[in-house]
Amino acid sequence: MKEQAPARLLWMVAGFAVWSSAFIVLYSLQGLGCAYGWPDPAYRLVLFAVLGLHLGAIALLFRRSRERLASGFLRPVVELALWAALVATLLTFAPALLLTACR
Amino acid sequence: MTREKDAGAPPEARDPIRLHKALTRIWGAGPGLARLSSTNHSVLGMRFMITAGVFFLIGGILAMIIRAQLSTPQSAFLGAETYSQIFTLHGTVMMFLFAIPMLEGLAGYMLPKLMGARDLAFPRLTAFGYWCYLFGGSIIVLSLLFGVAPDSGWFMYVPLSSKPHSPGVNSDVWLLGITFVEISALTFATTLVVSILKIRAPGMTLGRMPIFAWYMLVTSLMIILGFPPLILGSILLEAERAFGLPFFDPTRGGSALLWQHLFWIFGHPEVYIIFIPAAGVLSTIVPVFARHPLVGYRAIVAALVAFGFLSFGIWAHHMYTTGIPHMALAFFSLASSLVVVPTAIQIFAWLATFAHGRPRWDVPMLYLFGFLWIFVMGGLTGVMVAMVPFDLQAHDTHFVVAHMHYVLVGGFVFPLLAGLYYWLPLATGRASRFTLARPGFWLIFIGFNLTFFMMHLTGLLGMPRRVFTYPGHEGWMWLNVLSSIGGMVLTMGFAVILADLALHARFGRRARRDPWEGGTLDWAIPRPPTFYAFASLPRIETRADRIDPRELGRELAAGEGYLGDTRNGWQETLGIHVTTGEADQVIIFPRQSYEPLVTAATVGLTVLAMLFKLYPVAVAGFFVVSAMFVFRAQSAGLREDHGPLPIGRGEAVPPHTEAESSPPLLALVVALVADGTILASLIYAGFYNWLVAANWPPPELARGGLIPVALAVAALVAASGCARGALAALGRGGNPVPWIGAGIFAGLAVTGIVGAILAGLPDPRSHAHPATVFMLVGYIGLHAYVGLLFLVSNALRYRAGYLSARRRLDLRLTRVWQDYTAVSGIVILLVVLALPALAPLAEGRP
Repeated sequence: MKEQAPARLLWMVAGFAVWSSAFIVLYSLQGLGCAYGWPDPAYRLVLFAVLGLHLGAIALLFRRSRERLASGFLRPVVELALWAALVATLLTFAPALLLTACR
Repeated sequence: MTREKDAGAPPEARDPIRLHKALTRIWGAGPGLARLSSTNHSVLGMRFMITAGVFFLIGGILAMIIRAQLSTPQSAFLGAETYSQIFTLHGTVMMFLFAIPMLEGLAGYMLPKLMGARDLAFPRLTAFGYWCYLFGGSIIVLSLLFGVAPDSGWFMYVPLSSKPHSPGVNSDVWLLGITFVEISALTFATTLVVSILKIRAPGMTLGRMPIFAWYMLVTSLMIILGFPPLILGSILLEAERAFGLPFFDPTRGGSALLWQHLFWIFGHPEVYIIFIPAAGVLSTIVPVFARHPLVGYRAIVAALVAFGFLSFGIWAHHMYTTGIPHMALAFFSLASSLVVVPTAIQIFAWLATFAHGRPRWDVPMLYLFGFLWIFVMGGLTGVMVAMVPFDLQAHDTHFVVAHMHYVLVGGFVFPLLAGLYYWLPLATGRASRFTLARPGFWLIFIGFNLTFFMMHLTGLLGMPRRVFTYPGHEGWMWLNVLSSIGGMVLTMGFAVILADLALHARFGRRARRDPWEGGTLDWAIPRPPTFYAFASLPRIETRADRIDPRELGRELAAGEGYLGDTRNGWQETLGIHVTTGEADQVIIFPRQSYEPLVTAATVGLTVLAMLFKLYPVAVAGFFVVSAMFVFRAQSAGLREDHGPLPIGRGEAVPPHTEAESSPPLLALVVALVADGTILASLIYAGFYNWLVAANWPPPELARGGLIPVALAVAALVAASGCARGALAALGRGGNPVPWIGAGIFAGLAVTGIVGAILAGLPDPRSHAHPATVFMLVGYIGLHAYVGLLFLVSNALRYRAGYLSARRRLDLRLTRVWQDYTAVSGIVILLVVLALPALAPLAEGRP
């Protein structure tokens, strides 16, 4: 169904909402892991898994946006924003997760 | 219902002069002191800008005093104490009292004109925000005359600003004054979001909006999300200073770093909140002088979305030296680098617009050139300080001061001056002479670079910021002398601009319509703007920067657009569907009123009472203000059902009181987003202290108790259910008062249970844990209290005939509020139950 409701504006921010979620969850887990001395290999794997989930969520948003949004102004803007969010999520977190976690 | 003079007349028989007079009678503000009651966007927008301009002059004078002090080593001009007050006030005034209000004023003044509307969504709220800004700003600035101005730096770091280290009222002036001023920012941002989404000319879909509206929509949403953490931080710090609740005190389970997090979650987006509207001005001006439509409209909109989010993920790049681990630092460093990309997209879009067009050179372009030069330099030093190793060297030196000024003056003041010269003919109705604009520009440009480029060098030589003097053997002296000379030149430049404005106002010739061949709706209205802006409202069939304002202006003045007649003496504009852009309601504004002024003055007195520790007076003030809001609501809206009203072009839509998507409903949702951000920040503060702060676990746990919590949940759900019941009853044509009465009973029960939980807590002054629980539970109580105000207002307005099966807006607002209160209350109660279980785990931290 192609949505016309005002709520479809939320599609514009959907990708970066996922980026924000990744930021909050990864930053929180990093803080918790360091505070309670979680063992490193498992801890880092969990962080990468969380990142993978968020990247997957953005990929899902790509697919759903094509189903839900009619062509017109919003669709290309949403696609651009989703691409930007995907790249931002990858670049903000993937290199950082390779660094020293607690020092 | 009456239609006045022109009702029924064929379009060709309409008299523009008569229509103008009729509209002026309805929309005009009275003369003299009656102007204080004005709620018109042009009056208030101009008032915001002039007031911000005055604060800019005050901030500028403070800057000159700073430069006079630092021009020579071991200067005896100022003592350390006075210097601290002056540099703190300079930063505070420029950030909070100049930049934000100036952009609000500009947006308030311009947006309705660019979007084909007669006013902003909430004129009285806008007026209330203005008075809050004026009174709050005055409290802060006047404190300097009494020697009690804030003196802990514009970001008020604890423990310096805490009671033991700042025992005077200086910090209280900042915390209370800035919170007061921020009421204005939040009310204005809410108004702008609703105005942009709901109050545009029919046919203006999202893809046809003027690009400036997109910039302001993103900026306003950033204010809605960015300001609440600082408001919460200020409330917590004031609660610590005034009542001893230790949120930031490490000896009692608090953390000084918590303040830095709360401040910079606001503080970094703030930089972009200032820059983005200025970039919006440039995106409006560039196509006009390039003589080509803006290239990359959609890419810019997507870049703005990216900008809005990325700017929030950068806050800790002000905290690189606080010991944050490398992994977390990298999050912030990488996000800081990424935010360059959306900025670059905008700059490349402007360059592409010039490349595709036939550029012409005029004064606004001169300031655009100044922006590009200075902002790009500031951006490059921004990339430098985004890199952790470099920042560790440059942190808290004059290098950072130089970077900040290059970004903010380059990114805000120069575009603002470009916009000033661009829109001056519209605002004054006089053609620009520009006699002094060019020498003014060069004085500002040269003076600015001389002042602040030198600070890069003093910073790299190790000069710390905020020192009131220096011995003189470090090699800083000549650079400081040059910097101070640059400051004088810069000041002369602004004096020349002021003189130019005075000459323009006095001797400028009458401006013709659309002097720049702008192609936007703002040039289709009379110059200077009339109170009603558009005599009739246009229909937009193309992108809103590609119209012919000259032809359209004549048609609209003749009343050939929508709402080309007057009706019942109402101040009318059209509301549209957010995405389709079709008219869906007639919005009828309340008339001019002194109530915003009186309410803001009462809030001001309440703030002063808190400042002077007269807490019983402050509590009384709080209740008086509550009563005023209920009282104000008693005259809003309509007492009759009208059904669809003709709006011209053969269309008819209902008044906003009967519409499904009325602006107040959207405004409440936006306000609750800000409210929810305050709650999220408070929960974050609680968990942050649990995770990071010393002296955990607390000596005594704050347990809410299962039974009181269960009772509170039941009462919250009941209150929400009653609001739904009242709405359903009214929709069926029944009497909602029994449901409203039951809702009041449930609300009272919530406040009673909350009071009992609070009374059973350990002393909130003993540790950050009970202090956090105290604030969380208090949050529920406050919301239940506001819910009671909603319900009392509903009952009174139903009795007075303002509610009917069609006019259900009040009860829909109440339902949304009560639903939010219930959901947020349940979340809080779960956190309150969880915290005592988690607190002992803090013992396991290494």
